[in-house]
Amino acid sequence: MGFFKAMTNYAHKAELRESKDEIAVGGIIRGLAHRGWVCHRIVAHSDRQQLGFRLPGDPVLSAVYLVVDRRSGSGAISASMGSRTTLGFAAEMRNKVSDPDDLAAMWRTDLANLFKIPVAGEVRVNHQLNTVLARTHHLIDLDHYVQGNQVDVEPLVGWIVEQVDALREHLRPLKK
Amino acid sequence: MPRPDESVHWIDAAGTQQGPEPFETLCRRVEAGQVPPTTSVWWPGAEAWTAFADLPPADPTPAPPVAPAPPATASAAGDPAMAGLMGGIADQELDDEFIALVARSWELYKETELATSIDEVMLGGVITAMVDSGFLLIDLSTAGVVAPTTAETGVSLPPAQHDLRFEEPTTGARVTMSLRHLTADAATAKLVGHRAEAVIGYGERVPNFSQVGQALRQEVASSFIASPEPATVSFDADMSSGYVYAQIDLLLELGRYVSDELEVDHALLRRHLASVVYTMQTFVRTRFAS
Repeated sequence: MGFFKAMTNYAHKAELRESKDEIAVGGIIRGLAHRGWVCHRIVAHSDRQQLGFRLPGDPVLSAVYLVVDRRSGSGAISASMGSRTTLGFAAEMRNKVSDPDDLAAMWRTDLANLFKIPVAGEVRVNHQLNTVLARTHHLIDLDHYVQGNQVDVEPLVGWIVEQVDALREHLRPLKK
Repeated sequence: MPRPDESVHWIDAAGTQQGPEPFETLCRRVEAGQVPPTTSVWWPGAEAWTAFADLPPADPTPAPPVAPAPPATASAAGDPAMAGLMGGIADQELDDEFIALVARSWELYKETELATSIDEVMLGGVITAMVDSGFLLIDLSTAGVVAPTTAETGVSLPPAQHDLRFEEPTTGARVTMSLRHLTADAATAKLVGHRAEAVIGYGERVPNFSQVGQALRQEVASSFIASPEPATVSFDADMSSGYVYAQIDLLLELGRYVSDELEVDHALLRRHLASVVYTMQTFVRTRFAS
């Protein structure tokens, strides 16, 4: 452990602009934690963070996954174009026992998804066995929430909760 | 025909009614010649007195008792083998047992899930505590070797190490944390508890860069020391930004901060973080006070 190697694990981004997505992610984790969500999955690589949350007591959803993908990167492109970021959502619903009819539903939804062009905001339901996922994604600009030291992620957190509320309604009829 | 142990009455040679006594006793009397075979016998349930000689001979070795036929459940009706399998168990009991097996399976699955995610729940708690305090998360990365998929459950284990870095926006002071999960499988976690290695650091920009070089030289020397012991405080430096860090290696029990229901004890977590950051800050300022 330790000794002169810990610092090599950090990106050492020179400006806060380069850390905009991490700052937003920190605010998202904190904001959702205050709403009772538990962050239980964090996989982060350069300009792409995947987060998983448990929603204790939720009548439909077992987990929600968010992918923050900073498409414009953190370098010069971002400085000129803004911080265009794709925010991917996957709401997961688990049934304790799969219904044999789910097998048929799996094929139907998989087939239907084949013909769907991934358009921002469109919801795709992916029916598996015990698990059913509703996915969508949106394009946002992190500059609206993070400007240097000025950080106000709370509106973004509220908007995320609204998107998850919508996904929950797509899954509710499939809850057994 | 009475059973051997069934009480019977009989008429003796004087015409007097005798008994009650077990039928098998009367049989022995007849065999011994004490009572003639013509004697009349009656037992409760018999329609009339019957001559002993007219009764069918008793079977000396009664057949073993036969298990009562199981009541057929609705599910097994018309299928003898299924009736044999499910015999004696009501449909509601079968349903209840099935539901209990499924529920227990989910409990076991959640044990595995907890073992693989408790370190990340801890990280979420650290991020919440630090951002709540006014720090900004400026670095978040996943590193280390990806743990293999467990053959038993098929659950992919998460990567082994996470690195966090926070910055206080007004002073630029930084806090770092590297967390490496040591017990990412359920069996080990059950045996020793959920454990993790953590390296927690505090960093400041130092005005005199030569001091950074001094710290670096010292660290180059100490980098040859391989010590598995915790509580080792070391200095580290970031040449590009001019920060000097004091950091400490600790072993943490994740179960102290995260319950089996994934509830985070934010108060304890913040208290422990504060104590370590305070101490590391003291090391940095003492070492580079001038």
